[in-house]
Amino acid sequence: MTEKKFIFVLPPEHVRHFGKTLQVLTKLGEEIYIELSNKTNGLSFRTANQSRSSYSCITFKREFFEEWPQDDIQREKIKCRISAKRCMSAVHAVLSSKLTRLELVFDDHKSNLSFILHCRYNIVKVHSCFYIDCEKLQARFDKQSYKNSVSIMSKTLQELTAHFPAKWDEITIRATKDQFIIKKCDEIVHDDDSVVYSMNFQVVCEPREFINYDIQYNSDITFCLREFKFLLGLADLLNLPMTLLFDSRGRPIIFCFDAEEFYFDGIFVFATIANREGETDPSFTASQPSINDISTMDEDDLVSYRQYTINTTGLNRGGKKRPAPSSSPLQTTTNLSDINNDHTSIINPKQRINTTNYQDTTTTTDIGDTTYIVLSQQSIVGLQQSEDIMADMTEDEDEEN
Amino acid sequence: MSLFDTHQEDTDEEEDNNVQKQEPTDGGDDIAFIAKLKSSRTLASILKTIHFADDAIFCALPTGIKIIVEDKQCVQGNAFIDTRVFESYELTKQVRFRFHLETVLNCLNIFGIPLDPVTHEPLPTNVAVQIHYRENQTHPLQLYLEEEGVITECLIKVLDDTDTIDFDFQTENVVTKVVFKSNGFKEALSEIDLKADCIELIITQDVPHFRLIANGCGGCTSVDITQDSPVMDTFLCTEPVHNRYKTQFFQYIVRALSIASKLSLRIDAAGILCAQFLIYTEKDKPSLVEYFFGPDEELNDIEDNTQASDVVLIED
Repeated sequence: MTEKKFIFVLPPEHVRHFGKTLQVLTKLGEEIYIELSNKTNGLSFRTANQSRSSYSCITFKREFFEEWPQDDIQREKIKCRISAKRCMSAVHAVLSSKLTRLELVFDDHKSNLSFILHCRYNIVKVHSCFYIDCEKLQARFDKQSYKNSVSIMSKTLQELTAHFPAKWDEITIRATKDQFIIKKCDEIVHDDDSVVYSMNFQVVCEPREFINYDIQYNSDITFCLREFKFLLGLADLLNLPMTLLFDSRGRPIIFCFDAEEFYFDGIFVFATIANREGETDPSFTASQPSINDISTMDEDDLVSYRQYTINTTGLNRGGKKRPAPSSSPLQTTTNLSDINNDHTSIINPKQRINTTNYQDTTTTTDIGDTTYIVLSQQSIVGLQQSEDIMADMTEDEDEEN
Repeated sequence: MSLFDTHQEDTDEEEDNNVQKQEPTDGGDDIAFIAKLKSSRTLASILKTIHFADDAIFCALPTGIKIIVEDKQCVQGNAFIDTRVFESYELTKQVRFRFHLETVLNCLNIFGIPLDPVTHEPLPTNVAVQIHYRENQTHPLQLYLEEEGVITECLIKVLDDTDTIDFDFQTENVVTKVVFKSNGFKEALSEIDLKADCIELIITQDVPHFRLIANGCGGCTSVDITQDSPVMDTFLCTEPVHNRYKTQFFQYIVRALSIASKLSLRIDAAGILCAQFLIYTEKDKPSLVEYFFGPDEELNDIEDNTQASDVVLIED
């Protein structure tokens, strides 16, 4: 890379938003991936947690910044990662001082990212950290393919879940057309497969609490509470409508928001716990076969299903015996033509496979990007055993340029 | 209780907190020093800022009290409390002794430390304190603390006096002097990375005039203050200065900043930093706390060693 300096300047009114959102990201992962991309016209900050069961991405658009590096830089973009800890201390400084100006300077020559804080009294503080050039962090998911979509103000959601004790690992959402229930996971499974039922409480919401309520498929999903609470920390700053996309167990839940007047948006993808072996999804109905639930599939479907996993992910770990639904990674790519074919609510696995196969042979998305796949979260014990399948960051052979 | 019995007649005389303290019943001929303070907070907060070692030297001088604390890592902290700060100050003979600082601090705070609910800073208290000391060193240091009619007597053993380092700060050879307002400077130092080993101090005549750099792992933090900043009251620089000091020293500075109103930093030709804090407690006369730090001498030591070995060879 040449000796280029990319300078981003934030006006004082956006500094707090920047600081708060970055603070949430520093809690959700160990490293923050930064990317300046011309096609999205935004500076994005992404992170994923260590076990790769959550992915977060916040993109700040051009208008968020007062000054932006010149657009004629076509070839040289920013693609790097920094330590979340260093970022946390810089962000802490940003949030605790009254700033007149905040500059982000990416210095290629020294591989240094500096946060230059112009405080009052003509004091200038500089926090700098080293960055490492790397490939983009990208999760594969398709927002359009989800059957359930609800929108709720983030502050409302925060209030609903505020009293859930932090020591609970997981939280369950059970959604039907008439009710939206947030509760604790019903069972705790121990090593010896014994099941313990403990005290529970739940919050029952009616559809009219929501700005938008569209449930096509009765869901019962469980995901990590701790990260969910970090995410809701953003609600302290901005009360925005947040959209939740989810459907069956094992498929990740997506939280996304778009702060249009502040020129940034965010998307958070959390893995959900899949069914244990042999178990059927309780809210599953016969008319809607889910690709995750292998027990209801016939022989042909089973074969196609396996093929499906091979083709889309290249992850065929044949011979590894495990509960099949849990190992299925989230499949779909973000290609637009995929969306058109999937518009029908009933998903026939065979039909889906055809579509996906087509995708793979003709087009490739995100060439040259490192992708990782947001996977279903195992039961606590299963997580350790399945690590080699789940946490897969496929390093790319750098086909780019 | 026996404690109260001896002072029984005196407690009747006490009406409210601000009243003068009672005299001890036994004879006062060989009393070397008596001082009375309206609020124990005055002395306690000043002692807290120089509390970085176990022991301290107490000197009672005609001009006031001087307390010296030293850390073997070459830092010395001095506190001066002028006689005019005291409610009353009687000195028969100059004394100097060593005492355990933590014990005295605990005694001064024996009635508790009320904190401001918002800033969590200690509030001024109504605890009056009286310090007595006898000429004979075998007698303990006597502290009497009183709050709303409750009296505590503290007898603290004193230790032998020791020599203190003379930094030989060349006041006539000061290379640079900067005076800051303490609340602004505290803000500047607030985010400096105190986990780094050393802090570099750069003072130059060009912009930036004053800079502190802390090199931590994974990156560095720096603070620049220019001459025209409202935080800086005075700026004098004859030569550019670029020295390194241990981070620990800056932690002491931060601690003292919380009660000081002004801070003065002076560096002499040898690189010794003298930090002085002006502290207004009760009355209009300020107290002074100062620190002397030596610069980080790693590079200099290597040079000295090579010189010494040369001398040996010649003698052989």
